[in-house]
Amino acid sequence: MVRRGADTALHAFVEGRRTALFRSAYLLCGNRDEAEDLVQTALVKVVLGARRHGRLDNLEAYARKTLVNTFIAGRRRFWRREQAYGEVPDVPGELADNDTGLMVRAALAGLTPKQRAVLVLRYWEDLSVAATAELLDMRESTVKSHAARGLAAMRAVVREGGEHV
Amino acid sequence: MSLNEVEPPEVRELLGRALEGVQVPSGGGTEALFARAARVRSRRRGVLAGVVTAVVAGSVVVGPGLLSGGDGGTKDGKPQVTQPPGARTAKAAAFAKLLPAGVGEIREVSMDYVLWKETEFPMSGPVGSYYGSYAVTRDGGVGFIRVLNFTSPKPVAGWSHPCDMPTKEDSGTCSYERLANGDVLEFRKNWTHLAVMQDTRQKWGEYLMVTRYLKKGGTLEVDDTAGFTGRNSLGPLLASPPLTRSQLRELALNPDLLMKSQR
Repeated sequence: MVRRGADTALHAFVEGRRTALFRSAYLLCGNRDEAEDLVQTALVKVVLGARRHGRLDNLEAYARKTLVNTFIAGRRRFWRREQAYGEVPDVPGELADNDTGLMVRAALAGLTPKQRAVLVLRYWEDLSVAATAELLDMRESTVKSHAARGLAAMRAVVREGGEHV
Repeated sequence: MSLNEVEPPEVRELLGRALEGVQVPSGGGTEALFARAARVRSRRRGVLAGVVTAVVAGSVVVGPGLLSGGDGGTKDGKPQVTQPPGARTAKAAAFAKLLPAGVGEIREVSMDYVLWKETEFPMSGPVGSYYGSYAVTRDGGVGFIRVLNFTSPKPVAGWSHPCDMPTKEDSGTCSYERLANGDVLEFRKNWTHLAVMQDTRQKWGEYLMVTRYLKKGGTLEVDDTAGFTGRNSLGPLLASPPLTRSQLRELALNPDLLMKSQR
């Protein structure tokens, strides 16, 4: 009975948070297919972990941490060449309307995985420096320096984008 | 927006712009995800049972990349590898048949394990028959060939803009050719990857890479490197990558390396 209730809660969590996780995953990966894979992989880990430990508290933080760490671990993998394989945009005719978006994606791709993760956690997920540091298991000073690098990349987008921003 | 005052709300807005036009996956699939978790769980149980059995039998089989070679590395420039590292698998044997004679001894390895002593990152989708990494032992040195398939329902950006990606990875030189069937072959030399090449404890030899951007979508990539020395090295560098550029080109054109859906 307890297990069934836990499974229901897990189902609800997965269904409810999948889209939000996908958006973060896309910012990390820059590729829709890979973002979907990342979310799937992370959620499978969350499901397994939640069942193994019998813990359903703070699934949100657990999922976020799993997603980001899975991304970083995957990026270390030798064959992950995310930057070269970005898809041709879906609607080429609309490119001019979203030059900024493309530039942001390019800027993100130019960051290291950890810098990207910090940028997404700090400014997309709106986590504090301390929470980001804890989630990524790094020092707060490191988070700050990664964030500074990410902000510099965003400033470059603004600089190049001019009136688009 | 001021150049030097990009603040958090604006950063969030910029990140949001990167998401514009990105199709969010449709709902559903939750059951499939739970089914996948169940499969993983049962597979883990099976692996655990297998390991216990192997230990009892006194013959634990180690994974690719664990065999011989040890720390390798050069010492006084003398070759140290007397036994080819990696696993002698059926896949490696079949792959060797696709290569020109004299390339060297081909064994299968896990580059994750070789480089970082980590278990392999599982692929979520189908891959080609030869997808993987191979150690190439020749003249006492160890190089590597990697074969990678990437699937995509449509051409990836590199197909329309080879060697001209705004976010391209650093590489010394890049050239490309368009094939009669519409595919594009892109050649890179001395590729450097942040995650791999910036580990100063390892020093890489010459690195060739060919990427075949398929007109119908997806890619085939073949990496061809003289190897690396230093941390976790399996042996001295080869004098040159296992395959010459023309041999690498020929291999990339071999349809056997493509997934069935890519042919």
